[in-house]
Amino acid sequence: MLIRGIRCLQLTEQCSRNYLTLTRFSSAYKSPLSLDKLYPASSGNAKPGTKDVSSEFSGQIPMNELTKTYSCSSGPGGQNVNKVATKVDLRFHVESASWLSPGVKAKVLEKYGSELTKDGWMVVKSDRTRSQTLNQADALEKLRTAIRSALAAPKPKFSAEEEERIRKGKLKAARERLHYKRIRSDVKAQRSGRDQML
Amino acid sequence: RMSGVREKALQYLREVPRLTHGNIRNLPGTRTPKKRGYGQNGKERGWGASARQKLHFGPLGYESGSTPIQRKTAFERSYNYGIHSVRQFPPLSLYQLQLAIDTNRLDVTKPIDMAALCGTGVFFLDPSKNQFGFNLSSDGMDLFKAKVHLEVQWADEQAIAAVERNGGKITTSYYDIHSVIAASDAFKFLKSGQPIPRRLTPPGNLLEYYINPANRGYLADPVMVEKEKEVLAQKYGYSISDKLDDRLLSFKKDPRQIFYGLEPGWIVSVQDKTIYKPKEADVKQIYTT
Repeated sequence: MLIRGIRCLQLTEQCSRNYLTLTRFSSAYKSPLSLDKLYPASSGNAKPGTKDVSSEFSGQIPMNELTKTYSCSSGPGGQNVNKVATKVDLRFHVESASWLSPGVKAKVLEKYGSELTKDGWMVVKSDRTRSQTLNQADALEKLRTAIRSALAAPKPKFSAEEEERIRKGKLKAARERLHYKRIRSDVKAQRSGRDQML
Repeated sequence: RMSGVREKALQYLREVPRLTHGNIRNLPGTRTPKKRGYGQNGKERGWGASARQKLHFGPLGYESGSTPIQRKTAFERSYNYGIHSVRQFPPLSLYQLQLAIDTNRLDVTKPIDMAALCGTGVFFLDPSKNQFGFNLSSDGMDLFKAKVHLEVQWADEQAIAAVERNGGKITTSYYDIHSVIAASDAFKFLKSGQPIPRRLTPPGNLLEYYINPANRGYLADPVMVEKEKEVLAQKYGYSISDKLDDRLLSFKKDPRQIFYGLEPGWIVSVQDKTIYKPKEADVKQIYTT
């Protein structure tokens, strides 16, 4: 009886040999389902992404502009948490960031100016999950959310309807206060006994 | 102009006798008959001394007053109802794939598809168990370093990202059960002397999956696939710089092909090292539609 491992190796050798010889016979078979017939308009060149408008942020971040550091996460987990570098630290220098348009940069500095490091670097960290890949995705999501929140218009404390109700409420309160004030002053006036017919 | 139903109804009203107390009745179920306090509704419920002298049975399934089993148990399907008909895509983790590459079971300089994976002798597909191919799972995505030209039958987003981050190419492709039988044990199939079948198109609910560029479906628009690659790179934070060499990229499989370099309709004799191709036009036509 052949040992399974050796048989496997034999099979793969045979496989690879035959595969090579067979590919020489490939004749560029094209059925009606081939991609160039299904999508004749697609030449294979995707249009490049549009550049950010001055005051908008599309969400696109050039990955080589971010400084990524990987370290070990904290918390329980024994050998795995001690050895596997799952924590992700993303940094970039805000002032010199070429991928942020000037309008966006100004707003980011306005909102997060006090949260930057002494040298002006924005730091985003994540050790939310057990996987470095997912933590990196989480950190990027945090970064994008931060930038978008800096760009968002400040929400008014009350909506227009609420403002109108508050205004009317104030007027009503004043009216009622004066109404009861007049009643009380009438009462007091009647008690004083002034201008009474004797 | 009145509709037929309305006409009929009005005609009925003309002909029908006047409504009287004797003509009308309650809606079914609104009135239940009053139960009398003897016999079946009496103290012994029909099982008293005099009734016991006679041979009589209760209603079907009667259990002497306790709730019968046909009323106690709910009509539920079995836990694995439909298991014989459900399509299975047994998982193939990135960890297993990396291990197979590191231990030289898989050759990275050649495209890796179902035939190559099953040919390692380490990964198995059983068509009799309704297994339609491999599902590339993201277990081990942090360790995956290989640059592969990969074709699987299902892949989750993180697995796709892991492959593309290393500069590889991944496609999800549908194999109908006869194509799985052919590819899962290629030598056994080729020895059987059958002509290579053409792969069928995915059935209804799977077509959506394989047309979607986010899944890298084999029937998706290549331009959209490139866009989705960029989106995924932005999501997981890598840049697509590394690319597969042209020789590997030149390996292309038509949606009707099972094996690279072999067309449907060919009969491959491994022992004689010959390929028999159909000559008749009508036979050729079947395999090229």
